[in-house]
Amino acid sequence: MSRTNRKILAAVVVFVLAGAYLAYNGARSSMAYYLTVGELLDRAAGMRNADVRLSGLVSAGSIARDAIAGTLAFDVTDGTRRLPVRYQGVVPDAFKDGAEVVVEGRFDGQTFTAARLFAKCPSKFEPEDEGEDA
Amino acid sequence: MDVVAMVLLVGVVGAIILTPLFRRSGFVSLAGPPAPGGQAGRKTADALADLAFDHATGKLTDDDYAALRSKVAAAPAASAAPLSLPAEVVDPLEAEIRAARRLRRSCAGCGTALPQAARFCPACGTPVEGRR
Amino acid sequence: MSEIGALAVVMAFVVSTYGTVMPLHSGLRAVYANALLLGVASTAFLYALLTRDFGNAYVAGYSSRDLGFWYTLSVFWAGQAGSLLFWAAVLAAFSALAVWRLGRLRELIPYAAATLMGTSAFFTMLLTFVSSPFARLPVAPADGAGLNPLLQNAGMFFHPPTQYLGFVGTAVPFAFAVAALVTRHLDDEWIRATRRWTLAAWFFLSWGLIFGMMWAYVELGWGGFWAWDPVENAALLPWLTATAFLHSVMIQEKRDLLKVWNVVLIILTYVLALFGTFLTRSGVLSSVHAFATSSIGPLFFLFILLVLGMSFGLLLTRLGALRSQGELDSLVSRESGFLFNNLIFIGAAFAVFIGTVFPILSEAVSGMKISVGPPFFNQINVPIGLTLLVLMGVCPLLAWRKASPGHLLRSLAVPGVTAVAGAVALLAAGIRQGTALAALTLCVFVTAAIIQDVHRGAMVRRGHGETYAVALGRLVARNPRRYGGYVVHLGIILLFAGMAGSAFGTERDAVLARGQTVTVNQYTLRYEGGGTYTRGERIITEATLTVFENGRLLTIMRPQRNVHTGRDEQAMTEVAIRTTPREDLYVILAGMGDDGRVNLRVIINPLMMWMWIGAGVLTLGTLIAFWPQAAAAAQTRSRRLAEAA
Repeated sequence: MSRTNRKILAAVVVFVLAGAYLAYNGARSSMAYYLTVGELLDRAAGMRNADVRLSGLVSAGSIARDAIAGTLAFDVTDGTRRLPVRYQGVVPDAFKDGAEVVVEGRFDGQTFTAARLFAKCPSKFEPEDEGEDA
Repeated sequence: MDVVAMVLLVGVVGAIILTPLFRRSGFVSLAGPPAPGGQAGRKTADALADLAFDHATGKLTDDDYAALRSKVAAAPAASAAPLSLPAEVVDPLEAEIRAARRLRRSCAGCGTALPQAARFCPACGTPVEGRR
Repeated sequence: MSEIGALAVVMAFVVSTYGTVMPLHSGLRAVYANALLLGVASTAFLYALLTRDFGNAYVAGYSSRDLGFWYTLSVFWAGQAGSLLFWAAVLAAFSALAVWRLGRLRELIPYAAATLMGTSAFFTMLLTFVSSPFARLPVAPADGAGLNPLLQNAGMFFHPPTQYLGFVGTAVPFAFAVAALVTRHLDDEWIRATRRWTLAAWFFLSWGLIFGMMWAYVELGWGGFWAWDPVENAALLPWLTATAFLHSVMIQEKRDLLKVWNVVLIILTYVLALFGTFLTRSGVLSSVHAFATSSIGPLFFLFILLVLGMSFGLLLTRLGALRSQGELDSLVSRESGFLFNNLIFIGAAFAVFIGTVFPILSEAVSGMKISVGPPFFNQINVPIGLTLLVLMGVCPLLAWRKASPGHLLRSLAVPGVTAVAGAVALLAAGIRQGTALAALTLCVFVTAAIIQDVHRGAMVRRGHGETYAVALGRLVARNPRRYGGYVVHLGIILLFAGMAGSAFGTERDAVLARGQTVTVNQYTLRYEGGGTYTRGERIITEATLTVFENGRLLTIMRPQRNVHTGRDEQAMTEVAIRTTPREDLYVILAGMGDDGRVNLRVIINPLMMWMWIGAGVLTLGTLIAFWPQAAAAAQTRSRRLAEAA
């Protein structure tokens, strides 16, 4: 291999390794299990302190909001099972009965405490909406 | 009304698509005009112009510029566009040329090595047997 | 009318299939017929929309009697069947245009047309058998369901069509690449012919992303403009490879290098465009259930695999012929700069792709779905962005083939010093955040480098006796691609600067009773009062805030939280934004209690305005790059400079 090509290969290898390291770091700090309600309830014991992204639908009629305190409580369901969620922060517009939601946070066995809340309109191909805790 | 429109649509589309099939020259000619021969020359001129511009805008020392310049000017037209004929036409031709080159013949009369297309020996004038 | 539309779609499917297998003159005619048919279908569809034909299931599902004209138009691409029709129609139009304009490439055109028609056959197949925009309801309802209010805004009007123009636009260079591979015309003919197509597709992909960011920032109202959402990533991926492709082809044109790269890049770009279309349709990432309910998901997936497999298979058989004769002269040269550019963009695309499909991958491997969040994407892409900035600054200063190191360092001197001065100024302005400081300093560096290179070029021309202004004008006219590219880079720099601003913003939540204030940085916001009133279908809850800056009255802001009554209740936040070149003051009304107290989120977003200015500069640069080169003069320049040297 010519000298130039070898130098280029060396530079490429450095880049790739740097990139892989950054990716690994980034992945580790933000990895979370992506589960449905049923899956989380089944594995509840092992998920005590794990970061989880829980997806499901907002149970109709379960929404309780305190506009001033900024707290939100609702049940998330996968159609058959449900569990309660607590969230503090800005609530996205798409959030309402029946909306698809993804909450990020932790499950203590009883309640899911959400740090972030994403909501999507019930019908397909409509924009996703996001809310965040401060 | 709708039915009329639909029939019209089918008719128009059919006409658009099927008429070429009934014409003599129904096929797109695959061997188009060959690319202008000046391709290689143009590329070299462009490369030299680029180098001159790089030099003028202070990216190259005079020595480096001179070295690169002679390199570019001397480069064979390897980067020229290949013949604008499709492979199916060119490949068999090339194969023939290669095969022909491999054959070397000597004159029956004087024994001199004969050039490929020769019909008479250039040394003694004896006519050559065999291929035209 | 609906029957005509439905017939047109079915005929388009037949004609597209015909066009795929008959790459002869009749097959080319099929391209035009296909465009005609999809034009008819689109017209019929628009007619159904505008005449409120609620017997049409799609029209009933997405529009309503009281929907305004422009929003009714946007219903075209609001739902699945309509957006597929839009895709197919744009593809048909582009295919016809390409065949018409590039018909002179007699050897390539049959296969390019066949490729385009193959794609069209797939989409029209979906439209005919899976998701028809002309499906009728057994009984026409009196009124339609209406368009989701979240979609009733400018963002949703501009963003999808622009995005589709970008996605579909990549099909043309792809088709010609395939044709080049098939016919073994492996020189740069296909690249030069489709250069403007690539540029246009890239432009639309860029604006698709920009519109998306604008819409997220202004309408969705959570304070940011990008969340590394799978749907966002789906639009970003083809943009990344398209940008790499756009640069990389220059190397093939000049030096006949990176040929394999270029073919790989265009294949990836097109496949990622299909993938992006697929992701936004099938919901595969958010929920496996949604994926399986409609057959469109698996069909799309199969089609993508087919395209990928066939393209790369074709590439493999031509690999030997594609290998370059030449090689890179030096590590320090413009060519190697472009090579690194390719690697960086591919790296970014790879990282974003992996992060996006991580749940699917991890499920395949470990049985559990694991997803990654914004920190993953940011950790990879912020350094990549910074590296790109460095490249943008250094590459124009590199000579072709082999740069003289000493001269390179000399060229870097002025931009370098300017950058340092910039850094000092930034520190003095109070910007301490590391990444933002690095990014903004590099922005200064690149701007200085570009200005220096343009200036030097103009000075060279001045040596021929022209005035500076004329020299500058002629410089750009002789090489609009290069200088248009510089302007685009300036636009990108402004976009990066705007993004860098988001690294050092501020956010504060507050609950205020009437008369109470909250202070964020130099702003003080006082809650004057608020209330609820009705306007048409909307119940508007509004808070009035007086804003002071350092004690001086600045303005009044009125963030709202609305509810659209109608079939479903739909909440809509209307944020209040005050924009200055320095920063945006962004206020969200999170909620209003019965006692009249309000829950506010106040966000300071530095430098946001520069993003939108950057978008404009990018557009200007693209227009310049589109411009034809002053031809005869270019030859004279080539000759003259070659002789003079």
